[in-house]
Amino acid sequence: MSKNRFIVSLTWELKSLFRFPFPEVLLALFTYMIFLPRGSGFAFTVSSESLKWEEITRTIAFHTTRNVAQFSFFAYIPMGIFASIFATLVFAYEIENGLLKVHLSHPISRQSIFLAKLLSCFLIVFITFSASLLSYAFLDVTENAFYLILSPDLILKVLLVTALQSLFMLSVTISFSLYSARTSASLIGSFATIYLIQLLSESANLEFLPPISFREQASFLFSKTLPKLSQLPNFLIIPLVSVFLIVCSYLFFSRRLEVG
Amino acid sequence: MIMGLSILLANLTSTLRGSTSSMSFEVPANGTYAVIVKLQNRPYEIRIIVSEDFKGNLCIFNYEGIKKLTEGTKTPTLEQDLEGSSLIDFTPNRRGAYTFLIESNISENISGSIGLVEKKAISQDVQVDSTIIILFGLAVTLAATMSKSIKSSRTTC
Repeated sequence: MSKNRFIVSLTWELKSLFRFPFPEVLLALFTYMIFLPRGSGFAFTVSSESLKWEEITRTIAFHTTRNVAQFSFFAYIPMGIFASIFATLVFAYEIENGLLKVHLSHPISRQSIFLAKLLSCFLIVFITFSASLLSYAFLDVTENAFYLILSPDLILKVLLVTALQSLFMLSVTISFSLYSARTSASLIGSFATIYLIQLLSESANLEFLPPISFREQASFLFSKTLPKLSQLPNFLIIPLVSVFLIVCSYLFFSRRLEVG
Repeated sequence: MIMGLSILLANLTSTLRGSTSSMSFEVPANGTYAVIVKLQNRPYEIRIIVSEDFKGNLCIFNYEGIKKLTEGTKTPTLEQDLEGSSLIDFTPNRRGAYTFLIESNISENISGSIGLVEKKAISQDVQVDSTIIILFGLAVTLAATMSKSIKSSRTTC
């Protein structure tokens, strides 16, 4: 019964986000940012005496997906803008105009409402972003697309990179939205935070902060040899921070948030 | 349709003024050197920088050519004799993976570098691919709209 209510709540949240063409705009922006021609391609030496077709196709698929994972950080700003909009619409706007009160009057737990809201935002960002990245991976070397399908581990790595980036953006923006509980403060504040993180990361070359850490994550996942243990903290910091922020938001929403 | 339009727009508004990349290589005496590079559907200037006394040839294979090469058949897209450093103009028919195979005809080890100068141009193949995606999206949208209108007209009847 509660599972059904959760699904109804999730569908409602998705429908409310789809009322405006946000997912379409997001997909267009992601695709535009990823497909902008860039000089960096790939080049790798092969042994001319023992050329093996399987090895070549696998290496081309590896380099294509690694490039895609590295390019993913170019979508940092559009993702930040839209994550702020989604989090604001789903949390701060509903708190401010009293819609959340109506939600809470239904026989559904606060935990389920929070999870439905989080999942709806995550699904839209994750699906649009992965669609853009995967379409680039498949269109980059079109002839090799079939061999890319035969390498599900590479596709899963791209999806993992996407999921980690989407989760981070949403964890920051949702926390801001919940604690501020004001539409304007949430929209401006959460995006400003995302932008400030980028400025800090790029000006001081802080590898544990996004978007540089996103590139580090891609390098960690797509390293040819076993990744070094020293790279592990840079890989783990952002996912751990994301989980921490989401748990805090969850506890705040389900126990502390006063509506009305 | 949205994706197709975005790809088309990204290609049209491409700010890439051309890029340069280079890689060093070493060819054993009377041996070969092979490198697989990703090229766009744009004009390239290939700069092979080697010592003056080098004699050999450069073959460029497209994706199909690479496959045939692994099976033992040599069908290069471009074949050029090399005598010392050379400049070669090459425009791939399509973006993708290409193999540069340098064969040495001299009996000493040679090292050099390959420079790739990508010139500014709009990739025709991306235009074609994005147009196909747009048309496919348009067809799907039309089909969905038509089925909706048929359904609604049936319920009105």
